Amino acid sequence: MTFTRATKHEKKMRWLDDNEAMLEAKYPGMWVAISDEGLAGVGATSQEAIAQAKAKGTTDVLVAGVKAVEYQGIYLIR
Amino acid sequence: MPPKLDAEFTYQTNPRIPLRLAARSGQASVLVYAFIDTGADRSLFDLRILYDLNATEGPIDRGSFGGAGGGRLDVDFYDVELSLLDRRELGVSLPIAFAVGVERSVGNLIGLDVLEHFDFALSHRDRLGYLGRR
Repeated sequence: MTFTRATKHEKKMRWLDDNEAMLEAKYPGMWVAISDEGLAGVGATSQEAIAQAKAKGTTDVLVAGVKAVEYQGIYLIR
Repeated sequence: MPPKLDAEFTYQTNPRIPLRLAARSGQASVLVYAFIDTGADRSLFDLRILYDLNATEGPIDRGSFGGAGGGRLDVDFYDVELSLLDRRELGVSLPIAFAVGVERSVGNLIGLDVLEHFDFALSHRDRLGYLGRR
């Protein structure tokens, strides 16, 4: 079977994986906008995070909420 | 018929993928990520994301979710278009549940209501996933 590697947004996802602990320590419960280069915006809402990224000229962002303190360091049943 | 698994994706810890969400009633879209959760009957996303979609219509239905913790979560269903891996060929339109505070707790979830439209496989040992559509 032949597969095509889905590389679109792979950099953003990898940056998120690599920096999740930092985000949880610095921005618990906040929203972040992530570009291929890394953190592009932070805000109390996703709209604020996106707006901050746009102000820097970055529009291709992945929006993510950072886990709140009470949900960090525990196993989650989803 | 054998599964069609065209797109391969990688992950590090949990199987989560980028996807694009757009409201049928709006023109905006937003790129988010969600965990693939084959134990979830329905998909669930943070209500905050809906505000980014400029949806002009209200919820089409309301309901409740229950989980292993025993609690209930009230949700609103909205008509939404999802494109898994931000790929048009992996797109689907259906009512999706939104609730407050999902991102800051369990995270967005892709449940069986979305997965039933696709072929899906996972090699968790190798942290590789596969998606496709016949």
